[in-house]
Amino acid sequence: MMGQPKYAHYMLIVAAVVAGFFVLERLPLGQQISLSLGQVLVWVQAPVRWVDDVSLWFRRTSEVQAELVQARQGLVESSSLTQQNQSLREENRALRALLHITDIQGYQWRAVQVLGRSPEKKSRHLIVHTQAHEDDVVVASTGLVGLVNQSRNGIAVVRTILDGSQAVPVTLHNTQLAALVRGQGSELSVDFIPLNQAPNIGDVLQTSGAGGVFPPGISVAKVTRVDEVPGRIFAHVEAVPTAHWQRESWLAIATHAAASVSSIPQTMP
Amino acid sequence: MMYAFLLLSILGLSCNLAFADTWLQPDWALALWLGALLAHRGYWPWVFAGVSLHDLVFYWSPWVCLPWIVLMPVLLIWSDSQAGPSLVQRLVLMVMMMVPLWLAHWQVPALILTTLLTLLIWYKVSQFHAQSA
Repeated sequence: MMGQPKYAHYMLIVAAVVAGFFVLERLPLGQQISLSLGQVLVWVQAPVRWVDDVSLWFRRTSEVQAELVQARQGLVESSSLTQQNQSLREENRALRALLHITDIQGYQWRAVQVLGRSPEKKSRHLIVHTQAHEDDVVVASTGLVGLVNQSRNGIAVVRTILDGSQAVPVTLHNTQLAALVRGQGSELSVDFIPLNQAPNIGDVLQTSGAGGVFPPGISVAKVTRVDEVPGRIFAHVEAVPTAHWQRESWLAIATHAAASVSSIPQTMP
Repeated sequence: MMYAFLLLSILGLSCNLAFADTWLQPDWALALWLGALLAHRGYWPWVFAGVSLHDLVFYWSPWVCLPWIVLMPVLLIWSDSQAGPSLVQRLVLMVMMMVPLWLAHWQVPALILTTLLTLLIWYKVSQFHAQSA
């Protein structure tokens, strides 16, 4: 009998905590704390940068000279590659004009540094060093990463496409397919793919541009599994992101041109 | 001591976020709070607050580790009353707390590191309590 009030007391506390956190989950508290931690991450990373800088003093001169020679060779090679790249870009532009293929227009692109990421095997959230708008599109060199969730004081938090709340309209190149990629934590599911239009394993799904949030033509997911579900008209399709943001230090952010005119100081000419 | 724990846990959260791509790390903050709770269950208000912060920072939701940690003091009291206070049920509960991390797709080596760090903190906090008593 002595134990019962004690247990009731604990259960009341647990109930209050659970109820309190139902309320808290509705508020963007996690995002706000992540934004506040942005500056702390810069401070935490500072000693590592100092150690890197100091270690340079202890490196042998011959090593540094060898690296200089290598870097010069690399520079020569990269300048020839740049020239090649420019001529190819010109050629590409001319071909695009001929084929009436529109480029990704209406967006302003810029590179941003990744400050931190959530520590799961495949991070669902990133913290980046930039001022951005809500729903700005974040892209790695290998594909779509996600959307900016919130931004404050030059720090932005990004919800990647692995997050369960994200849905990306996709298509297969040169097809009429219209499907939806949704985050499942560590992989992606692809919804609304009719059985007769099911992609092959290894096919890459791209943003379709439907909805106007994501620019069309960005790689999103590589199909890893296609199953027929008896009695259903849609196939069960699983995929993995094409972008590898777990190790990328820099990402690109696309801001809608209309939004960028209004309020991002560093993107102004 | 709990204020120091809070500061250390914030530092741990920052380390996890800042070096997630470079170093294999334990979940510093969770190990800290779990070790403290296992050593002295009277710390539960601090532990609840700390683990809430942990969940909100990493997952933007309080439903990853918090429900498990909320159950822990209750399970500790219940198991102590059933079997008497012992290390066994505490060790089982400590391993149980790795399940939400595993479900949240943490790497297995990171889980092992977290467990080892929890053991160390549990031992140190218990020692501190024994000395102060």
